[in-house]
Amino acid sequence: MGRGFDILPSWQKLLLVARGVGLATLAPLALQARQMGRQLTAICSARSPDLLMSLDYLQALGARVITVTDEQGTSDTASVRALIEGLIAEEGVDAVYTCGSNRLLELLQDIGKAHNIPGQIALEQQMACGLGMCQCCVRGFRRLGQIVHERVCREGAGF
Amino acid sequence: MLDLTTRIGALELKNPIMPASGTFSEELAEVFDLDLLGAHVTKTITREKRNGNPTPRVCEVQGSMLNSIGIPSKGLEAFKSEIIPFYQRYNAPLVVSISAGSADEFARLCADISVPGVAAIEVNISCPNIEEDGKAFAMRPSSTEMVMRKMRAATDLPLWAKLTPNTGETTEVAKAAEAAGADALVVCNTLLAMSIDIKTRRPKLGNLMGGLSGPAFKPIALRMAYQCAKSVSIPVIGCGGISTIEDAIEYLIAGAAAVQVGTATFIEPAIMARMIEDLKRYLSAQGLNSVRQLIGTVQDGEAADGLVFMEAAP
Repeated sequence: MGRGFDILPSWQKLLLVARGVGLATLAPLALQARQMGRQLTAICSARSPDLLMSLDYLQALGARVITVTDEQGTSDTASVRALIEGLIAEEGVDAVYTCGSNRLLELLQDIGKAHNIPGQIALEQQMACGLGMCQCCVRGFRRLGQIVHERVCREGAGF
Repeated sequence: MLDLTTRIGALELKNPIMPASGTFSEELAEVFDLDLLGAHVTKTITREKRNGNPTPRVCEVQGSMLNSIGIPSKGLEAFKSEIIPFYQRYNAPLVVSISAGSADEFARLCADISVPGVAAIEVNISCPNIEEDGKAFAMRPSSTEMVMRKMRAATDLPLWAKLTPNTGETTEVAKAAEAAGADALVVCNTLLAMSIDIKTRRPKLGNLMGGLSGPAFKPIALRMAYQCAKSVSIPVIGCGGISTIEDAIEYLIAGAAAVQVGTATFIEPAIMARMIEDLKRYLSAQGLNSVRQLIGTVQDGEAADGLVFMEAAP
């Protein structure tokens, strides 16, 4: 059912930016990146340090893990932007992946546009059938200059 | 040998089980053999492309669900070039559900969708439209008759009128559709409903209100199917809250010649295939050899007066 993330051949340096339960969604991507021999940096965001998930898993797979939290005052978009801009300037980023935060999505769209870096996102939406029949789980996407609705269950959940 | 066949006007169906519009699409072919079904009923299409309503489009309520999908449609041309060819690989007749914003556009769409591969047209006159002040055509006998007459003149294909429970004139609307040339009635669409999240105080649906469907709705739709079957001589197709073969049999006994299964497919995608097997088992266990021995056999006797009484209330 549906489709997951892509890791294109030219995407060697991957940046994962996820928040809250979105961290769990992106964990399998780390495994895939490891198996394909890609370099992975993960910016993990949460409300507090004890809510940060999957850190051990990501580290065990060789990812460089950077944590930011609301409690420590490091997870605001300005701070995360500085962090990502720094990574781009120092070593470059070929693709970004995200899940779990609309704020981070908007930030990454903005940064991606400025630096011409492609990105993918895992989305969720309420579903009735989970097969593609009911048209409940749609999200709007900009495609060729217009907003089109695509189903999270079928065309996603990786977009 | 069990005879599961049933007749909807000119169409003979190999069994009385078919999907309800909006809960069925090509993707279900990945789950079971769609040729098991008595007919295929598509999601409602409109001539133009439509995105549908804002999300969330669905929410759960006790024993049922609400939806406000809003008829997203790929448009007529995509439907003709992509969807009709897909269903042509099956023997089951294809019933195309259509909607439009005006009676004239309903009629034009009927004409344009009357193409090879389409066996019947289900006209979704139970959706909101612009000509009648946000009301659905099927809420009133006069607007039902007007739109049905225009469509009748526009096509020779069988027309199935899908009625709405959002009316106090059930039998009058049913008779109006029949008088205007409908070949069958589908009874019925969803009941306008609402749900609010008490924490956020926001309606749970993006569109604020939506249609109630599922088991909790069944007694209402069954009552309407019964009233319609009593008041018209064209076939009635029962639809609303059917999730077991016993539910379907209830509709058949009430007078429906076939049934549509909707919300239950969301919970169990292969449920219609299972219901066909359950129907065979039921008939055998009852010592019956055909579905037709069930249709309209409700033992209502004197109680028929109640029907008149309720509908005559001011």
